[in-house]
Amino acid sequence: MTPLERLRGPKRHLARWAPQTAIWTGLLVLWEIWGRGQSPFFFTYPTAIGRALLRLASSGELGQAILDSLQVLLLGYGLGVAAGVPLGLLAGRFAYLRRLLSPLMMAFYVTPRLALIPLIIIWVGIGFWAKVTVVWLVCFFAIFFNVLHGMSSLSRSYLEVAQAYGANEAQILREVTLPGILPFIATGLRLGLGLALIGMVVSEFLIGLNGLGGIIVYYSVRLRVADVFAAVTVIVVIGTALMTGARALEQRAAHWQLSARAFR
Amino acid sequence: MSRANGMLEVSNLTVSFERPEQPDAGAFRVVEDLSFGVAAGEFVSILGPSGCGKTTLLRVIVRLAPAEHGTIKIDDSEKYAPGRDVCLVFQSYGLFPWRTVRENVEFGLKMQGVAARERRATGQEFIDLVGLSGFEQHYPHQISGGMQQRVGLARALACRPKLLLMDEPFAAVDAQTRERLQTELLRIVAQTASTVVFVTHSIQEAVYLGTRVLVMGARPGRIAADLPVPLGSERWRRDVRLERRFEDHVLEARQALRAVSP
Amino acid sequence: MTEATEANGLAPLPAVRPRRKRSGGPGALTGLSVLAIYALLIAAWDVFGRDVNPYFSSYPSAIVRAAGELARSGELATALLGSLGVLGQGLLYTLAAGLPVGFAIGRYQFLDRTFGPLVTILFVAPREVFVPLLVLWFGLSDASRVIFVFLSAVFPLIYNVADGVRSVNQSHAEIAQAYGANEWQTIQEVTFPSILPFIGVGAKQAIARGLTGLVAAEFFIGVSGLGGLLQKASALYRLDRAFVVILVLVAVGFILARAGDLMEARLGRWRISERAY
Ligand SMILES: Nc1ncnc2c1ncn2[C@@H]1O[C@H](COP(=O)(O)OP(=O)(O)OP(=O)(O)O)[C@@H](O)[C@H]1O
Ligand SMILES: [Mg+2]
Repeated sequence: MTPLERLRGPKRHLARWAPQTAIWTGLLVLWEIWGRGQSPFFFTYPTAIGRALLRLASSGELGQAILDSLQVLLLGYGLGVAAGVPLGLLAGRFAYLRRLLSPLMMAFYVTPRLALIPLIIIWVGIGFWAKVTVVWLVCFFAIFFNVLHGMSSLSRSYLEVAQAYGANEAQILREVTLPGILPFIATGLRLGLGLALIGMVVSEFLIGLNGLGGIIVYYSVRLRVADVFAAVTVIVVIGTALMTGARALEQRAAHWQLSARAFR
Repeated sequence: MSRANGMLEVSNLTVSFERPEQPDAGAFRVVEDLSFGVAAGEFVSILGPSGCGKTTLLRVIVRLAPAEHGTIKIDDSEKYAPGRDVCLVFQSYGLFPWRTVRENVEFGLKMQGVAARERRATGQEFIDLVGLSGFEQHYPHQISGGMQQRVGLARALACRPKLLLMDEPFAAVDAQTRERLQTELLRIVAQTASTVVFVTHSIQEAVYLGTRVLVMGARPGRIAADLPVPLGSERWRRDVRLERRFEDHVLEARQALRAVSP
Repeated sequence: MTEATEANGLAPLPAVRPRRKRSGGPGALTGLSVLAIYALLIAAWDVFGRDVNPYFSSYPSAIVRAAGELARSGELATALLGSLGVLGQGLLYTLAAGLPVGFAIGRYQFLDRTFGPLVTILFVAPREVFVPLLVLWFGLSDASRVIFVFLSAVFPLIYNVADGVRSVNQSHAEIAQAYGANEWQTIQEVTFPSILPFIGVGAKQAIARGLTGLVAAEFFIGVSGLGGLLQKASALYRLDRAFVVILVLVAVGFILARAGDLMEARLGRWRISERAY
């Protein structure tokens, strides 16, 4: 038995991660020491970021920005899901629809959807709905294509079993297609969420500077690096938390799949 | 060849497939002018060389593939409903991996719109019958191949079909499990008074299970021999495989099969 | 689900050609009739698009004219070359850094446990938040843009390579050793061929992410390249020019996607498909 194996419970957990904790603490300390020697207009250090976070939080600026950002994110994402899943199902079900849309699908598939932002600004105007449209646009395709991919990977034999048991079209959709492609839908929802986060940040950079992205730009042009890092930290934390949640949901959706491994 | 009190009557059945790789060569005739009948309570085994159209025949009966000519009647009606009047047990089990054992067994009933309560009761009855009590909440990947095929059988039986079709149902399980499943199938068929059409490659299996063995010829597929197997209906109680006349019937079937094999 | 699902955040594009069916019926839509439908739509757009306010829309013949202008003035070529240069450099650094880092993280569990979470966080969180900092540190320069392309592209590669190294079949390595292979021979004959498909998947994703990163960089980090040309055109309400740039981006995206597919297919040749029954 190694000394590690002799420990139990939380103690063992602590011991397992001790080297990592030490390394990361060391790196943070080094950053702190080195960062203090740099110009605050150019670089920053952990305690300054902490102070900036506290200031942003207590002034209410941060809370307002989080609310603004989440509003855009959730509305755009919700609309993306509401459009992506049914359209994906339709395109997956009807070959001629797929065929008809194939040139458009191909173009949107290979081109960064972000390239359409300037047109969205012209068409929708600069404002809340332009941001929602950007978020919608970037996450819609992830969801749509994953649903479509699910439909094309669903084995024909499942449909045949259902037909041999007398299932009608609606029953097949409810009992076979939807549960069968649920892992793909879940993957689409997760990837779509990641892209929606990008869409949120990008749209806040370009369209009416508010929300968390707005804070980043506002303070970066004023060379207040600590405040920029504070907002970056908040976005990274929110993004990682949302993605971890989506990941957990995805794994639950695919519990019956033996090979449900994409990334940790 | 059809008999009185026919549960299944196939008359002059012809089935063709298109050949997309050579569209000018004309359709590929898998089954031609095939006729046979199955009486209520019979257990008919079908033997035949690989590719002679056995699976195709069963798929046409449950309307997964269209017939070109001919009629198929179940209980004297051409308007039978797959899933209600006739159920197919698939070789690869055809279980839905996202449904538990219970949900898989109840699938056919659900498609018929049977209320949840009744579904539950009937499903449980057949789960017990195939010996899967205690595994109701398992998913297919959590149980063995033999158990998966029991689920497939329970799913079909739960619909209480007039006719049960089975396409090499035990081909993918090991030899010991296979023998156990065969005996169990005979017991279950006797208990449920089912009429069965059973496709297999094993001559022993065909003779052991069947009250009749049909031998199909290839290219195009039709019935080449129709051999009665009078081994008694209680043959699962005593193992007829140990008896001399069992071997005689196996020999007879083997000769018939040899005659149609290329 | 396959790793391919992660490529540029989309799933693999399903085959468009439907299985051949009995003739007739709507399933029999041929490539030619699709082409005809699109030609008709474009013609209709050309006729009716002229009446729409040109500040909000454009129409095909105007777009073709704008393409001619942009090509003659050399603006398009300059922008295209600038963009491809930035993208190429970014991807080069991605390859140079992603392979060894991915290999190290996959090979040494200690590194994985220490830096793996960081890689995952940077993989899932929106990288665009770093753009203003890049501008602050490196100015509105090509260097900033290259670094951003690199940041966009490198994590999928690291991630996939590490994954590949981790999933090298240990029994294959043992077989090699049973046949007397030494450490280096094992790496050469087992490890490396085993992770090639993962490199292919990672490289394909890196290309797709890199292209998105390029467009974002050209929007935010000074006005340059194709993204810059697009922004300039739309700021002046020249929608005809904006459409030209978008079409060029579609073409670039198409070629890069083909390249990514080819690379993935070539490096993953030995992989058998693992489709269910
Ligand atoms: N969908 C199809 N399209 C074209 N040809 C088919 C199709 N299905 C089956 N066939 C052909 O029909 C013939 C009979 O196939 P079938 O599966 O019915 O044979 P089988 O008797 O069940 O064979 P086995 O014993 O190997 O299962 C084969 O030659 C096969 O290639
Ligand atoms: Mg068969």
